[in-house]
Amino acid sequence: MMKKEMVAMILAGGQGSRLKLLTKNNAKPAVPFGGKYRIIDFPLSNCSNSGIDAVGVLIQYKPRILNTYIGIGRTWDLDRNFGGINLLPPFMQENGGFWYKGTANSIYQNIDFISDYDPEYVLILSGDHIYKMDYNKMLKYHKERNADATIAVIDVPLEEASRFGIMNVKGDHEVYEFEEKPEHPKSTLASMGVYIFNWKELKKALIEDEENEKSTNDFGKDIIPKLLGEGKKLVVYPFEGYWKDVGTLESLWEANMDLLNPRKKFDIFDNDWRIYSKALNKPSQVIGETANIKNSLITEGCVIDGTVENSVLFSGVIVEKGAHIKDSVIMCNSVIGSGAVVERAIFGNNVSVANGKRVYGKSEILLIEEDRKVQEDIIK
Amino acid sequence: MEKRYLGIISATENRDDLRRLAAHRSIGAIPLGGKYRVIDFVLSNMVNAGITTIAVLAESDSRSLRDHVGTGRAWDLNRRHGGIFVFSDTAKERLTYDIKMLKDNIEYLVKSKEENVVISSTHLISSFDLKKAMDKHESSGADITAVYKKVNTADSEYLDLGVFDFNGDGTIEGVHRNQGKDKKANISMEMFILSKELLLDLIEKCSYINYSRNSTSIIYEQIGKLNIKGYEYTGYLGVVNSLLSYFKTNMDMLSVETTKELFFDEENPVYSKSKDSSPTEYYETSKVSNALIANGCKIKGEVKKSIISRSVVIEEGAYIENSIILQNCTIKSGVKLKNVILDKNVTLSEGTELKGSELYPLVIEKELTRYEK
Repeated sequence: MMKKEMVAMILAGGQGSRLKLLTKNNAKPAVPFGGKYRIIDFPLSNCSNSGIDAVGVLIQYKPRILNTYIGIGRTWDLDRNFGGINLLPPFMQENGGFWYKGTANSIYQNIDFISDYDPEYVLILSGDHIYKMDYNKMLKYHKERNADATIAVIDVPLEEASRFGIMNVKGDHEVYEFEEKPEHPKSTLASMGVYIFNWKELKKALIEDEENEKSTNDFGKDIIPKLLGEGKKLVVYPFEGYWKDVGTLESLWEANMDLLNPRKKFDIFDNDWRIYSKALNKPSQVIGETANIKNSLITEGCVIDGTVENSVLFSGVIVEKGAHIKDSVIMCNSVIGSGAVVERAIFGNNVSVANGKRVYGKSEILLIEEDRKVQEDIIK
Repeated sequence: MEKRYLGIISATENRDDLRRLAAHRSIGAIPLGGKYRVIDFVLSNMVNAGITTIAVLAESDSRSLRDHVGTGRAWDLNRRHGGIFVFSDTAKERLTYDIKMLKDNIEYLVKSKEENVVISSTHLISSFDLKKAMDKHESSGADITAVYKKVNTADSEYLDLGVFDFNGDGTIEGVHRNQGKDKKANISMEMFILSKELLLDLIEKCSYINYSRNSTSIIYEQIGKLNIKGYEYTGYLGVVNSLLSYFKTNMDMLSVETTKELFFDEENPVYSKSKDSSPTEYYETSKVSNALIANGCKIKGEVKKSIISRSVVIEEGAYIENSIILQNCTIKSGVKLKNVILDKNVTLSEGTELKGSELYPLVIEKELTRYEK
């Protein structure tokens, strides 16, 4: 009987309501990012690059685009005979059907799926973080420490620590306390939402958690504190490198802008750790005589006759003569009319801005939802 | 579609006039327009017309063509039934004849269920609704339909291609080679529609002479004997049969009208093998105008009237004009290029200046030996 040492489970079912209209018709992990990617490309590429070839993707909220996008997993070389990608929606059972109640419950409902691979370890991932990480190194660390669970953490600035789940540790990286979004954080080690569990331990904890009616069935709120309470060995795995939770409009915009930072916080050109993405069938970029492009990322299929500055353009964007785009993220097939000015904005797919109109995000990042036809100035 | 069609692409054109660009590749595998290869155009035309079984006849040294075509997935030709099949000539000789390859693989042709055949060479670049030509072939009752284009620039372009003479009712009466004597000519697009039965018959007839022939020539030989009608194509027609025509066809793609017609026609998209390159990054110092740029480039220098393929690095202070830069080239600071074709993987060191003329573009050949980083 074949088995897999580690199975990865990606939590991709959340609504991502803080991304507002971007997730009106689309799950957060399928939100476009960085000119040609979708957020879920990052954990999936990390799995592929780490040699993990049994991946379950837990889906629930508006899964149509995510389903189509992932397909059989070919993009990430995860169309395998044994293993590969499996999309796991909630399902009917003999005693009724249940939506995924929480992150832990979604894994609980798929215990059979994981058990089929008879793994030693399970890797739990979020579908909405931008980072590059070798999960094999983390597994090695987990084994060396003889831990029951290992939680990847990143050092965040103290003033931001109360936005995260914070791990309080003893000298040797062993966790003694977990605090979800603490008002007065005792440390700056934020959980990245990347966990490795010994499957036997986790399975037991999930079943017990399910029986506990008071539980919210969440990894951060219930499973981690429960394991700690039982005296299990939980260690943190300190991660150094770029990591960003793109759960809000501002952080999504910032993460896009980080790609343009000359001191490059995050390199998507890395040939040794490629980020795979489903390619669209689009021609080369057509750069006209009057184009002026500075410090920007531009994707195939764009036609640029205007000025693009400090911006990320997805494929098929048309920037007409005299249009000016600055500090913005423009998703597929949008058309910026001649003389229009766009600043500090995120555009969904297929937005059009009429000639000469001004679309500014002043105090906040301005979101223009997909398919909108902008006929008047919008300044916020 | 009532009748089913088999596509046959003859990737065996003589490539001597393309010099170093074709030293290691068939014409079909020559990069074009930043991210395409020559064969993408005819393949896409066939697929867009609903053809799902295509045979590619390749030469013996066809590694790059096979690599590009792969399982045919980019054209949706990775099929359980039909799909793409690349035949290769195992002969050691430099010259390859597609009729000989068809004869050697006659079983494939006989076994295929399609009643009709579209047979085409690769080196003519167009994007058009081939389905219309197929429909016209069926309604006209012609034995063979030949696709052609009326041009006004035959004295300087489309050299060496066939020129058709028509009689009053659109039947082809004669054919001759374009030697550039006239401006106006009906240029043969080396694409023919006929029944499979007739093709088998024509191959069989070769046994009295010998099989070292090309399909284009055996069809031309039937002019006057069979009812061969023309189908006029009126869109953009590029050619890749010489260094100069290759240079011109690329440069044509800088015109907005040509680009729109070839690439932005939603009814007739051009498919190509995809790569996982990131978007192209333009830096603070970049200055780009009138260019076609593929994904994965890093541009810090100046680019004017040029075609830049994938993953090209152009450093600050480099200047590129009227040139074609193929995949993975690195152009260091202070480099100046004009009318140059840079084949894949070339690194130009600081301060290099290269200049060809528009009529004699300079080709720097593919870097095969240098592996150090």
